[in-house]
Amino acid sequence: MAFVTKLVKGFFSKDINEGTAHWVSQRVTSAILIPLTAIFIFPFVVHINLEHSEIMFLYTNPFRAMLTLLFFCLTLLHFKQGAQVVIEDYVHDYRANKVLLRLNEIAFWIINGCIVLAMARIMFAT
Amino acid sequence: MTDTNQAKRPLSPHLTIYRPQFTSVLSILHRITGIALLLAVILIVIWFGAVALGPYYFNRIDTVFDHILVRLILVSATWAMWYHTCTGVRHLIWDAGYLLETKWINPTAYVVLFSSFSLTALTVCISWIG
Repeated sequence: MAFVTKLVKGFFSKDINEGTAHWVSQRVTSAILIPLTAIFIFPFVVHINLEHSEIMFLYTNPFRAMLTLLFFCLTLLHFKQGAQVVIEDYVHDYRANKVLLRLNEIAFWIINGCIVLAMARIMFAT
Repeated sequence: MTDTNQAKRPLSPHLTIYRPQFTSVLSILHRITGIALLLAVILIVIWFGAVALGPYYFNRIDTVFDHILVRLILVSATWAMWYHTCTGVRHLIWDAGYLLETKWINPTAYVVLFSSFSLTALTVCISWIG
């Protein structure tokens, strides 16, 4: 419990450095993703076999749509954070390191944009 | 005297000089599954994109998703996801300061492996039965 309190404090604190902030936010996204993954994936593996009209009916439900969107945004954020650590660890060439970190950021925004647009269109479909 | 080889010295993590161990392989797999899961995320984003674009595009994507190779990728991705989730929980427990003693390394590793395969089987069954 003390660990959670420390994490929450660290998450909102302005006095911590970049590395600590990254570490803390990575733990926070992973902790939230544990229940969210189960909530998203078990219904989804059934939905993947359905017809288009049935899927549209299910995902126009605002609650389900927001949950899906939350799952994807957090997953992508968690991925960006993870990939950043992997790049920092294994790419030692200074320029390649910087380029890959930037590409990681760009890929994050592109995929995030795609899923937001897709879910918005499904949600507001008439 | 300055060391001219300074820039060429191997840097941590020293992946190439260690003999693979059960524990290190699990840890490395956590990273590999994490990176590989991007493929699954992109596939599912494409799927949702096709749903949003309408029945025409959806049916085209649906036939691609019905292909045995894509199914195989999705099932592997399911395992990768559960494995990454389980080892992730293990890492969070360590970060909180618990189960750090040596005697817990192998038992928790077996729990992680067992749960990842069981959860994958459960997910595949749910998808199959509908």
